[in-house]
Amino acid sequence: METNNPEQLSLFLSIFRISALVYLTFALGCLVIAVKLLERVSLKVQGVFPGQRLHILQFTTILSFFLYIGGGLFLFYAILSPPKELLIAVGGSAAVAIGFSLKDLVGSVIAGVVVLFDRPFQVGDRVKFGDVYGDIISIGLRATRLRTLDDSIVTVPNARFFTDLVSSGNAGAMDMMIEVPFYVALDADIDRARDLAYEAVVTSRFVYLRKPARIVMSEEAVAGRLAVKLTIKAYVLDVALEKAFQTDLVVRIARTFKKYGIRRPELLPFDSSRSQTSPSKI
Amino acid sequence: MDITSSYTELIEGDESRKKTVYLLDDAHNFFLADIGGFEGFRAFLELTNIRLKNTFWAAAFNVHSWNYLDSVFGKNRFFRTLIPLVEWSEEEIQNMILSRHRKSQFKLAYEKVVFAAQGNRGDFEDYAENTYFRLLWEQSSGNPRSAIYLWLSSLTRVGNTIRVALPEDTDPEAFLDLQQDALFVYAAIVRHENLSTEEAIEVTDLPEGVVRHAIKVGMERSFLFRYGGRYRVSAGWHNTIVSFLTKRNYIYGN
Repeated sequence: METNNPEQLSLFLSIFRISALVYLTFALGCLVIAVKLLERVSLKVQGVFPGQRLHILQFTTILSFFLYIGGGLFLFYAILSPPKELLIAVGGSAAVAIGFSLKDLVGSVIAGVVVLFDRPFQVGDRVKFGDVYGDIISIGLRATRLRTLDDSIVTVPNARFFTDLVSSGNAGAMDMMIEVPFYVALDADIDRARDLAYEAVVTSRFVYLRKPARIVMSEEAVAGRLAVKLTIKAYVLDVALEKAFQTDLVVRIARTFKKYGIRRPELLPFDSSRSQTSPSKI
Repeated sequence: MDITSSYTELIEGDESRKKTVYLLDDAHNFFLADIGGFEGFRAFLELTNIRLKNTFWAAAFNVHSWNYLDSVFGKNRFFRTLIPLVEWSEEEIQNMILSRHRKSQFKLAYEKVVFAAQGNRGDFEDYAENTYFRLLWEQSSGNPRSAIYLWLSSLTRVGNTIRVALPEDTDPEAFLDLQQDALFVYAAIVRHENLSTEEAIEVTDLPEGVVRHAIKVGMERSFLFRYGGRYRVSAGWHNTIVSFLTKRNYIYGN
């Protein structure tokens, strides 16, 4: 053993030659550039095939993922050419070290792979995760990034998707269902209100009618009084236009209800004994 | 009979009437996709669904309007028989165009197509003609109106000869620099088959300036043409624009 130790040590040190390390650094740099190029090409292809945008993004993410892992390991092996014994020893030690010190990170990486193949959501989906609501812009090795509607980037460690609830509004499709509630007074002409609301939905420039638009009606208490709630359930043609669609419906339906005299619920006065004014409308 | 006067006259006169078929062309003009814009279409449905023994109705719709109305009112709930006009085959398109052309006495020369196919004139004349009509058929998607437009746009007269070039290329990249609002305007025109500027403003609920600009750009780039004060998608661009808008969910089939 004693006679072998210096030999093993020199063998171990021999793989970390300065030239090899320079080559490895250079090759890893090239790998990063190659992935960046891939992302640029992906952007161009998305422009040419917009209907496949989400699938192309998903494919690019998977490819980048494997290029980094596979390419990195290959370059390490090809340039440094470590002996088998060293690989086994380093591999074993690394597994233990990573397992203990980077437990969460490894958990997130594994979760990232699971997310890619289990696909609870995809790149481009509009999801709700805890208090965060926005579009998935990337699924990375360690974490997933979302862009919220106020244009903030939120990074969520992948491991959290194992335990926490995440809901996807469009599940890979371009279109997405939205719900918009409206309230009318109990004594309003609710059939007319429903018909007008439906016409407002199907004539919106943002609506996607390949999937059905519906109006669900129920009674609810609003400001201490019963009112009829009309919940519009309709699909927007592109998830990116979700809020524009919602705004369009609110503006046009409010305008139409006013034009056709559809009564809205009225607020109870804050203090009727002190208030001399008539009830205000909501 | 004046079918616009009242239903009573229609019903009372039915027994004494000979069997009559009323053909209503461009029935997509009965609606405007705006709140309150379906009243005309509803009246039309009411009229055609009155129980009559001797009166029959046949209405022709633009396919995109039909698909839209299907989505709004439910799939084909009001008509007993639906006859979709299928696309013409390559051979039918070729026969239609060549049979019309033969009456003109002009000689056709496919030199430019032969040149594009990198062949020699004598060997490739028939091949060039077939290649040309295959391209024309693909580009027109079997729509005879588009095919005739593309055919005419690819001809040049030199003496008694008509030189045939490749059909005019319509590249969807021409839409890539357009604002989203312009696409909403074009989608509205496709959905209605024809719209006036005022109707386009009403239907899209966009500011007047935005709509006018979209129409102006569409006219400049030949996506649209104006006829009788109304704008339509030009035959040459029809398939390209429909395909572009369909891929982005602006218009849709069933």
